[in-house]
Order: sequence, then structure tokens, then C-alpha cells
Amino acid sequence: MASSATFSTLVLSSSFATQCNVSNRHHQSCFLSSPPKIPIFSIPKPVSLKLTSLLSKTPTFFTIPKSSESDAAVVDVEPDNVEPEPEPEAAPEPEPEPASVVEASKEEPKREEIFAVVMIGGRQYIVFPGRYLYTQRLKGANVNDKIVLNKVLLVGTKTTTYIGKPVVTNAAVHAVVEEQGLNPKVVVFKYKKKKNYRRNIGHRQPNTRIRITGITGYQDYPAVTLES
Amino acid sequence: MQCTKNACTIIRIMIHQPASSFYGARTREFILESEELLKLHKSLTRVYVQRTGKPLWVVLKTRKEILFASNFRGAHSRLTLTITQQRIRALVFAHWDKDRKKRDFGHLWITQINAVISGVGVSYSYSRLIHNLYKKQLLLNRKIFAQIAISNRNCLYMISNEIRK
Repeated sequence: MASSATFSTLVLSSSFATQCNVSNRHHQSCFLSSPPKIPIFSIPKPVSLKLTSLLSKTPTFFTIPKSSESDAAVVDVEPDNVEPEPEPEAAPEPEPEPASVVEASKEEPKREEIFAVVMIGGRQYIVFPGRYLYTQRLKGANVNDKIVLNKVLLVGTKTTTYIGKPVVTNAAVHAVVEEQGLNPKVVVFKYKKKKNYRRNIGHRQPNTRIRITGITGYQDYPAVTLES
Repeated sequence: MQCTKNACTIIRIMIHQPASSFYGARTREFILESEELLKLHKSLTRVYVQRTGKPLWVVLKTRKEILFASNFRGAHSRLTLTITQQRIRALVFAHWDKDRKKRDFGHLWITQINAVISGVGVSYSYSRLIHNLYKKQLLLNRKIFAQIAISNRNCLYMISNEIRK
């Protein structure tokens, strides 16, 4: 098909991006509630610089010197932006990462190694400062509203945890509402065989995207540490 | 009008791949490319109408169904009648599996928690953990427990020690 030509270029660039991502993310567990999406958008830029050197048919002169100089530097730097982000929050046990150990301290901004478990809309989420999260639609919350979540069930740092019975008193998770949107469409298809009954209904559940800014107020609670 | 795929359409698509589309403003080139694709889609459906003799709306509907079933195996992605049947089955199973998904993940979490907890000590198990959980009035659910068990095992040990007291 003639359209396969355009599709193939798009597919090439996306497959490069996913290959770049797989090595960073395959140790990340599958139900982490908020995968860092922002760093991933930074990936296609340097990767496709590599691609233009492959498609050497394009006679644009300004691309070739750009790709040759900054190729090595950029492709090294950009993956490190992705790797340290999931790293400190995901596991205190250090996973062996190929290129990130040296550059991790330089690239990544100072972030407290803390997480909390928060109950929003009847569901519980593990929450890290700086990451975002999709929850049920919070009524009456507008974009860029500051939100304080009070039902904090657990706060954990690298060495101690504060276990709420059932709630960690006076703990609060501060968040900012980023977006009030809709979930991807789910098709609800009802069908009874031999009875001429079929209903095709699409459903988009409203959701809210929240970015967590900080976790406070847990210090006075009795902490639990691992006495080994 | 001769509706045939010929070299002209292919060349038209391939010429229109500006190199600048890889960095900088991608939206403009993306819009241009998508317009090209829409034109191609239109001319292709006209080809189908001419070749099969069916009305346009039938062609559009069957093309959409064939697209839905395009990765099915064998005749299920080729023959139009079986495609409608298999599409219905696929949608119905997807609808049922939304409930199965909840069950499956619940089982998975329980198994994961059990695996980690049984390694803690003598005769400690998932059931005792949950019993102690309810006694001490914690509200954490199994999904969170499983997540903690995978990523932060020390935390889970701390919780289980705390509950046992």
C-alpha cells in the first residue's frame, strides 16, 4: 500500500523510542499509578536525530552536522533523565542500571525519598511527590486548584514507615489539579444470541489529573523502623 | 474515471515527507500528512465502490469492521460474514472481561502478598496477615500491599511486624 511508506517512517521512529524506553522501564512494576510521562516526550527528539542520519536520502545540509555532533551527547543525556526518575521512587534496593549510576546525581533534581498511600474516591493510590495521578472526577475542582488530601493511610521513607491505624493523623498530601478530562473510551457491547438484541454503547468516565506536590504532617506520628 | 492505484499516488505520498518534520514544529507537518492520508482513504474507498458495486455506506461500514478484525487469525480477518460474527464475540468478551480483570488482579495480589509473607517467619501466612490487619484496624488494601511487597519489601516487613504485636 502506498500509505505504508508514511506509516513505516512513523513506525520506525516509534519503535526506536520504545526500544530506548524498554531498558529503562522494564524493572518498573506494572501497577505504578503514575508513570512519568513528561520525560518520555523528550526521547523522540534525540532518537529521531539518529534517524535522519539513517535516512541519508534527505538532502538537508543543516541536519547532518547537528546529528553527528550532538548525537552521542544527546542520546546519553536524555535516557538518564528518564532513568533516575523512576529509580529512587520505585525501589530502595538498587537495580543494576547500565548508564545511570554516574549521571543520576547530576541530572535529577533534589527529591525527597518518600511515598504515601492515599485514599481518593474510594480507591487507594501510592503517591510520590512530583508525579501525577488519574483519579475519579473531583467535583468542584478547577484547574490549578490546590488540593489537600487527608486520608493518608501510610507514609514511608527509606528507613521508616508511619502506619496509619487507620489514618496517619495530621498527615496531608498536597496536590494541584492539572486537568479534568475523560478516560479513554470503553465500548460496552451487550448481545444476546438468537434474540436479536444488541446494544453498542460507548462510555468515557470523567477523571481528574492531579500532580502531587508534597507530603507533610507525618512527623509526629509514631514511626516504625526495621530493627534487624 | 480510472480509479486505480498507480505510481502517481505512491510518489505523491513519498515526496511529501519533509525532513523538518522530525524536529521543531511537528503539528503542521502532521496535519499535512494526515490530509494526504485522508485523500488516499477517499480514493481507495472509491476504488472499492467501483470494484465491488456496493453502495458507499456499505463499503465504509465493512472497511471499519475489517479494520477492527484486522489482526484476527485466518478467515476471521478476511471473510466479511465471519468478521461481523467475530467482532461481536470480541466485543462481548471484552465486556465480560472487565469483571474478570477485577477478579484476576485480586488473585494476583493475594498470591504476591502470600509469597512474600510466607518468607517472613515460622507459620506466618497471608491469612494471618489479613486477620491481624483487621484486628488493628488498618485500611490498606491488597493492591497496595502487593505493590509494596514488590517494590519496597522492608516496608512490608515493618507493617507485618507492627501488626503482629
